[in-house]
Amino acid sequence: MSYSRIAERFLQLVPVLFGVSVIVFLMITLTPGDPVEIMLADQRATEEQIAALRRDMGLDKPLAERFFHFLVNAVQGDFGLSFFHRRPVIDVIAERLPATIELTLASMLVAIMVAIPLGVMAAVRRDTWLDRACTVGGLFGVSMPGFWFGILLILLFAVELRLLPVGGRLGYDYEVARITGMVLIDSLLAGRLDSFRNALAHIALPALTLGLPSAALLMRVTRASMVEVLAADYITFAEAKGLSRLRVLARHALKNALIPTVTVAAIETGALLGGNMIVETVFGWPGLGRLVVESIFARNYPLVQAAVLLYALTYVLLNFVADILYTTLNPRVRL
Amino acid sequence: MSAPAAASMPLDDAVPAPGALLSVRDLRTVFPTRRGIVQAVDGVDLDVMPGEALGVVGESGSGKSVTFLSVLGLIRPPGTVTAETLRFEGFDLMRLSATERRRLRGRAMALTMQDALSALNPAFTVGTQIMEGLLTHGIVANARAAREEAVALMGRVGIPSAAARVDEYPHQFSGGMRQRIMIAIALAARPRLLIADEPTTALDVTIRAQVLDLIDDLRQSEGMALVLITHDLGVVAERTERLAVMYAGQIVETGPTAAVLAAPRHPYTRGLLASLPRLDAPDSPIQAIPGQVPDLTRLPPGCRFRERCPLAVAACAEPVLLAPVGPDRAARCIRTEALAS
Amino acid sequence: MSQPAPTPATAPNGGLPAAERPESPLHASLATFRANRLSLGAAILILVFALIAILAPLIAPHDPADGDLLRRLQPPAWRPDGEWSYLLGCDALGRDILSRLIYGARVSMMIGLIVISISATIGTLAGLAAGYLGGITDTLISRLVDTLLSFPYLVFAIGLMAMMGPGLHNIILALVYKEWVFSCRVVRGATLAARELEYVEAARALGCTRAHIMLREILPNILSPVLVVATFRMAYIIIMEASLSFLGLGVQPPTPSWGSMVADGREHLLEAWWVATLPGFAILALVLAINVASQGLRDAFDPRLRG
Repeated sequence: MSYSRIAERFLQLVPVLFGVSVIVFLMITLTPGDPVEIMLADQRATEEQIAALRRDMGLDKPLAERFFHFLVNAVQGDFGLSFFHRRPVIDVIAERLPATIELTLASMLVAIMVAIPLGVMAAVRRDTWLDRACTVGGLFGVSMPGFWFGILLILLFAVELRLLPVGGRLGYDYEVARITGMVLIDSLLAGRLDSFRNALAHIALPALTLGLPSAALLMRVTRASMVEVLAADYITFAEAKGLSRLRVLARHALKNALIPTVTVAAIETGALLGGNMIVETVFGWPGLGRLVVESIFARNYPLVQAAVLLYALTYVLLNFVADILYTTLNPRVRL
Repeated sequence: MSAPAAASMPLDDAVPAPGALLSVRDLRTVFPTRRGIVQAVDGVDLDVMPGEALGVVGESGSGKSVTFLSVLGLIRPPGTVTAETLRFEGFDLMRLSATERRRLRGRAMALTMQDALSALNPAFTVGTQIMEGLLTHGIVANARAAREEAVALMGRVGIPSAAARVDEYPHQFSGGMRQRIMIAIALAARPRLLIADEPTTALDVTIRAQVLDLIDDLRQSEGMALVLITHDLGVVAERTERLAVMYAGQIVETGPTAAVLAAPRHPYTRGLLASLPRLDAPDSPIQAIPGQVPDLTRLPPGCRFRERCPLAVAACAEPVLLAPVGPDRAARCIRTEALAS
Repeated sequence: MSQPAPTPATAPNGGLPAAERPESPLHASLATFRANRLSLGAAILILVFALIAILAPLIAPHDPADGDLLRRLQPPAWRPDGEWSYLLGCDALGRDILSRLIYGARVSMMIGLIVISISATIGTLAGLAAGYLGGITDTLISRLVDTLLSFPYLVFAIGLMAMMGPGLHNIILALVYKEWVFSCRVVRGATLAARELEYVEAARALGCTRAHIMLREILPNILSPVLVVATFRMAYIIIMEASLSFLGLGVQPPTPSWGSMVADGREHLLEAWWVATLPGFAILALVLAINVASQGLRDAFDPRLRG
């Protein structure tokens, strides 16, 4: 896929990104009630303070002008002040982001490691007990509310078996120098296997909670595409060449069958960002998702707005990546 | 493995013909489906001699492709294959392990498929796909030699500037070129038997002749036997010495190609011939065979063609055997006399 | 299925005259659906949930909002200290969990049904307009759809709920704002395909109005995908509502919602596991039943799969 082609696809994102910013802008603007009064409701603010905040947020200006300012500021990463933290919103978000990225990546890793082997085996051993078990497991996976699944895992692994810790990313006895902000990676960079292990124990349950429902989806996709690929002539032809069954499956079938899986995985990574809010709340994971939920109750609207915009942008970008991946992996549509 | 008398009438009393490259006796391939058990191949007997070209004709669903996929050992579960005899070059294929059969596949017996576009893996370059077989069977020592051989093979099947195109993907080739690449892959190991399943159906008429010429040339130069599976009687007449006609999982007529086509001994063969447009008499009407192929899950006893047969009599409902009808010929019909007159 | 053996007589639409119009595709679909025992069982389970929701005031043993602090975190009946009159035990405020589960079914079913009805209606109309009218209408609708699809669903709903504040009406609005997109996409695709079909051409040649063609000619023929999508989307909506309520952004107390019940119970996981876990089983059972039934519908309405 040529660079000009990628650039062209990227340009097609512009109207979507514009639409996303309009919606995020409108979310806070067109809600019933005066946001300033709602935000300051608990703080017994004076009339002057209210007026000042309103001016600060530009609420006294016409809608179009306000949107323009919002857009210009947003492009520069300026989402205003988080008066709860008394710091710029963007700084607060940046601080929490690595924890969320770490959890999201770990969850996707769990999802892929579960989904691909099971999906492939279910397709290869189609209509056997294994296939049926995978189908049933997949149905449960997509039907289970994530927050509840997390609680079940806590009850089993933390309360009952006392195997894994709950809450936070690292035990109090450990401290690692912040480099990437992702504790697992920072531990490795510092050569600290003990804290790596501890961080791993902390991330295990949240990553399972977030990852397994995605695994259910990815497994279905993998199974379906693998079933289709296995029926293809080129599989019969590869076997007619005398290649071993393993080689036919691992090379000829998998390389084609995983194209939809990889694509869906990229899209699903974006969807995990939403699930983060729930899982981070359940496990007390100090990431962006929990920050957003806390901010909602603190009526810290600028932060919520910025985070929603960030999530949507990431989601759009991941969809874009999925699109590029799909074309790159698939020589037939490669241009 | 004892079969009901209905279907099984061994050509030569179940003894493989001496010197045959491939001997098949009472081959049965069944697929369980939701609607019942499909008898895709039901008691097929045939021999292929070294260097010989055998044509296998029949409508789609007649079991002609499944027969040879069974020979190759490419029937996947839940489909099952049984045979009284399945010998190739002295190997009893039914007794070989999966690995041993795999070693014969692509090396001693090769397959080409109808549509090269779907038979070639879209995700790999053609070079990779040619090299793979060479390396698997240890025909070349290393990847570098394999690549050289791949280019040579592409040249041999008539692909211009092969060295430059070896790293291209299948979709970058034209239909005729893809077909040649598939043939190159099949012939990479210089097999003794090539099973060509509808090699020309997907091709334009002009390219069709080129591809068949190519197969013929290679057959002559390598002394390879050919099984040409097709529904095109014209191709069979032109390119094969012997012919087997299949209908609903059984061979209904077999014999020297020229003799069979000149004077069919089975109404189905005659029907197939009548359904061809005739070059010598372009105005003669084309007669399609009325009716449909019977449901392979609910096969009637007796002749499977009788529902569509103009010559059918009450006795056709009784099991019919493949019986000799002349020198080196056999037909599965009790009305052969009526047909001859 | 823990439900009684399925009998065709109690199936939804089981009252259709069986002998009439045996050739109708709808009939064939329903027959396929009924032949699938698992889907039928799931459909019956959904019906049971619906009945529980409707009859909640009659069958709930206690007032779901009435707490008795003496019964704080009382265990379920089969545990020591349990009582049979409080079958599933009590929560931290001493409220009967079974009664709250029964009333919670109302919230889940009602929100699921209302959101999917409004969204499917809006989505179908928008999809018809986009697919049939094309041009600027299509461009506008499709752009809006693309934009809304650019938000992860939960992020979008949480963002809206954060701004609008919690409450029943707001949940419905927040979900509908995005949910209509899914039926819209399906309908737009189906309409584009149907546009070229002969019966539509014929209607156009006869001079029928565009509204007539869309609503009378095309709509009836694309209803089955709409129905299939609506059922499996409903499963998703129920999880969404539960998630929002779990975060405290959903239905407000004292109305019991399964999601907020799990959240309440989370505080007392160590002493009383049943408070947080039992409502989850209710969500799982209902969502699973809808997903299975929806799968059955999909198989039934997909003629390619019919033997």
